[in-house]
Amino acid sequence: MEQENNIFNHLKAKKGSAPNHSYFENLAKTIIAKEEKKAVIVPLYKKPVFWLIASAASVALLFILNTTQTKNTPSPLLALNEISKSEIVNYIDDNIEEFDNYLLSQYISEKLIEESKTEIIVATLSVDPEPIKELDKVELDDILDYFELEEIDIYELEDELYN
Amino acid sequence: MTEHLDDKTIIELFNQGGNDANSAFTQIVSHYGPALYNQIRAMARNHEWTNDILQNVFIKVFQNLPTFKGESALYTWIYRIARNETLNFLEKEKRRTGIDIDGALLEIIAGHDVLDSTSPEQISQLLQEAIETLPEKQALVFQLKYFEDLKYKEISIRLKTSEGALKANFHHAKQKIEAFILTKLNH
Repeated sequence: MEQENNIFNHLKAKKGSAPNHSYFENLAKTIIAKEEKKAVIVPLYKKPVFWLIASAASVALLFILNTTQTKNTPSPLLALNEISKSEIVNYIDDNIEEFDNYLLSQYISEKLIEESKTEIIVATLSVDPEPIKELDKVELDDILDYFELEEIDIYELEDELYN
Repeated sequence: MTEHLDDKTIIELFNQGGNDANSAFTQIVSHYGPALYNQIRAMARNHEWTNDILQNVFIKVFQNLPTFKGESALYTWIYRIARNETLNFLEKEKRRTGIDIDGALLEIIAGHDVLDSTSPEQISQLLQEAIETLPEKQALVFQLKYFEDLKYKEISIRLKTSEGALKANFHHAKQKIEAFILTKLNH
C-alpha cells in the first residue's frame, strides 16, 4: 500500500534535453577565447611574476650599492696600511712645530689649572690661623691700639690666656 | 569521440598550460557538460538561464582548476560550483523578472490521490524547490539517478563513491523530496 502511495511511482522524469555535442564544444571554445583575452589584458603590475622580478632586482640593487659603498669608504686602519712608514715620518717632520705648539698649549693649560688649584688651597690655608707667627710681624703699638679700640682689657686677657 | 581521461590526467594536462590546457578543458566541458546542463536546467527551468549559468560555471572551473586539490571527485567539485552558481543566479533573476518556465520536468501518472489534482508544472516547481533543500551530495546523486538515469556503477566512478553510499543517498533524497512535496500540497 505504502509502495502504491509513493509519489515517485506516479511521476515520470522527462528525458533531459541537453543540446548536442557541438554546443558543448563551442561553449568550451568561447570560454577559452574569453580567458585567453583576459590573460592578455591583465596589467603587468597585477602579475605575480612582475613583483617577483621587481623584488629580486631591488635586492640585487641594494647588494650592489652596499658593496660599492664599502669599497669607497675603507676603514682608517686599512688606509694606514697603504701609507709607507717614510711618508708618515716625513709628514711629522714637516708639521713638527704644529705638534709642538699643540703639545705645549696642552701642557700650559694643564699647568695653569694646577696653579689655580694651588692658589685656592693657599687662600684657604691663610684662613687657618697661626697667631704666634703672624703676631711677630705686627707692631706692638698696633696691637695696643687694637686693644684700646676694641676696649679689651690687657690684664683680663692675660688671665684668660694663662689660667 | 576521444576516450575520456581520468580526473588526475585531465588536471595534470590542464596545469601544463597552452594547447594541453585547452584540450583538457574542452574534454571536461564535453564530458560533464550534458549532465551538468540537465541538472542546472532542472533548477533553472529554461534554456537561456541554463546557458548563462553553465557558461559562468565553466568560466569558474577554468579559473579555479589549478586550485583543485583532488579531495573530491572532479565532477563533485564542478557540481558544487554549478549548484551555488544556479542558486545565486535564480535568487537574482527571481527578484528581477520572476520565473519563466520552459516546460514541466515531470509527467504525472494517474492514480495518486494528491498528485491527480495537481499539474505537472506545479509538481516540477515543487520538485525543484525540494532539490534545493537537499544536502549537496543527496541532490547530486538524486539528479544523476533520477533525471540522467545513470547506473549506480557509472555514478560511483564519476563521484568516486561506493554504490552502497549512493543507494543510501538516493533513498534519503527521495524520502525528503516526497515529504516536502506532500507537505506543500496538503497545505
